[in-house]
Amino acid sequence: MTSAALITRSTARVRPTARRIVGVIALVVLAILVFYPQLFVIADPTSINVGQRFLPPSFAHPFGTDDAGRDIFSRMVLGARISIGCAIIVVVSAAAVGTVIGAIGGWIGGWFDTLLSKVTDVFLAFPYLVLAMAISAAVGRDLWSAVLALVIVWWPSYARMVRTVVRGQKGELYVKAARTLGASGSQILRWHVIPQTTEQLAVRMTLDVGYVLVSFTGLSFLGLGAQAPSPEWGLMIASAKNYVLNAWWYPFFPGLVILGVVSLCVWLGDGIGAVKTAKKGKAKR
Amino acid sequence: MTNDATLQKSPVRPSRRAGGSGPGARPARGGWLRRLATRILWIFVVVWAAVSLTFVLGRVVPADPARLAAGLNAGPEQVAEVRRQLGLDLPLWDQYLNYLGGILRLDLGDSIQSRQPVLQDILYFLPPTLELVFIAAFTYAVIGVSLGVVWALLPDGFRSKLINVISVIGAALPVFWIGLLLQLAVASGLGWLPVSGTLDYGDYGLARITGFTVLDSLLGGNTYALGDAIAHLILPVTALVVSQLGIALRLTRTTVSAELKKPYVRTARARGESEGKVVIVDVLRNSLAPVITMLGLQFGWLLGGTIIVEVVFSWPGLGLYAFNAFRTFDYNPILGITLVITATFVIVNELTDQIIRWLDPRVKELA
Repeated sequence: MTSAALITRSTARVRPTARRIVGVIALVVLAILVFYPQLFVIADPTSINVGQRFLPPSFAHPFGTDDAGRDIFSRMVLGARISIGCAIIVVVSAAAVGTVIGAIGGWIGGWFDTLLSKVTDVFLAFPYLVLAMAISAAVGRDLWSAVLALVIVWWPSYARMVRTVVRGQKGELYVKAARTLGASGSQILRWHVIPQTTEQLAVRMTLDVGYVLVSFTGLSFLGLGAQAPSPEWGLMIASAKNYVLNAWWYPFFPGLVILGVVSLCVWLGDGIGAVKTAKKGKAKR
Repeated sequence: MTNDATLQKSPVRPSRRAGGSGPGARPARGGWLRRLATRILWIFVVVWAAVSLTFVLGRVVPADPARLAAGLNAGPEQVAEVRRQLGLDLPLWDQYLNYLGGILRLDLGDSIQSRQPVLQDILYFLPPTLELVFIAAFTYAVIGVSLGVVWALLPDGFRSKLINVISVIGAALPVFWIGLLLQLAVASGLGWLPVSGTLDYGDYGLARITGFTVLDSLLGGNTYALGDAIAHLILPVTALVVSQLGIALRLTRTTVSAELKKPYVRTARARGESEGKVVIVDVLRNSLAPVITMLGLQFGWLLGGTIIVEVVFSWPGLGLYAFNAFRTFDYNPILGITLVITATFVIVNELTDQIIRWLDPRVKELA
């Protein structure tokens, strides 16, 4: 690679397009929601006021009020931290576990790798949503058992992905060079090989936050995740279940927001994937 | 191009099967008998692992099943008595071996709730669930694949963009939300569809022979019952299909687009073959393997989605049974359901693999 090529690569910038600007703005808004929910809360989300039950959406209550007269908008704002936060915790933990197992297996090889990949295969063959429900129910119905259950069913796809990359890179010249220079196996893995997976990981993790969010709210909907009176989104829809025919807004807005966040993740994942493909194209030229 | 990067990973559990999982990934030596044996062994291993995982996590993590089974008002002696009855005073290892031994004798223990053998309960509740899942899977496959093919054939433009937006939104709709919205829509406008429940056998004097409502109405020769059974299926099936449609759309589209770019398509077109023949006979057939694999994996999602859908629509199947078991910490049903659903899923995936090998001989050569 000539120095000119090196420069092109390092300065290959991501140009702002409408999609990226919208994506960044949406992410910033979500981040503020998660970290500073009090900025958006317009009414006390815990105060029970029977006189205010089932008020339809209005300026005072943009998403209406629920069966206890609480402001649905404010509850959703507070719930963002739980629902999105848990989805992110699940994805990060699953990616961490998967990366470690995949990298170790792919690097060491031999019977140990065979064993690890067989274990991964077994996990990949589970009907994951059902198993997550069963584990979460068996462990005890709370937020953390749902998180644990989802991590257990979610790590294998990361292990598979990282293992493939590591095995591919193992024979590369730069790895041999690093070894010649005296780097230990774990150093080479940490500094050179695992960083090769970051782009793929970024795409996968972005998408997965959306998919985990759907599964997590699904668990909560079944009463396996967050417990009342938490303003977790899936749980809110579950409590709205019995009132759907007289207060359409009660389940409607929480679901709409989940849908929006999931679509955002899929859309951003697509976007990161596209940038990655474009960069690769440039580097080749 | 934006889709291509995600499409290989787009199903909810990305690339679950990429590269082939399990013993099937190895070349099959020693003929079909050996292959069959490995596959069956594989099914057992996966089911064993799922049950063991749930069992161990359920027992190790400190929630006390005996306490829960005995009820809130039980005193310490009663709890101890229940613990002894349920075998929960034994060492974990013995409990585990007892449970596995029970499975071999087809004994999944008793349900605390229904006070009946779990196996009997499951056999009763399984048919309505399978009916829902199979009809949904079939509809999902037909609609998802045909729309995906249409999308691949559309030129870049407004219609193609529109389908793209639909596929992004429809990649993972919360199924419980769709269910509730459907109920709302039906209740407010389309009053002629039942909002929940299933066919009432008593209303038509039908016998419950198979447990599949459509089949039973057919067996009973009652067309009114058949209409009613189908009407009850429409909403739950729609909810299940719509919630994942985006995934089938995207994967079919990528596969078919890639196939359309291959030289043989140009050759076939140059030969003057009709577009329909090129697409349906050549392209579709060559794109089947990834599409069918995806459909098999989505089946696993459908099994989970069904539990949620059954709760929304009060569909009296395994999902509702599971839901009640979840709520009451009824361990034996939870384990039994894990076992049955995992087995169903693994068997379905083995069958899809088999179908692929049968449809596309290239897969066999690759293996």
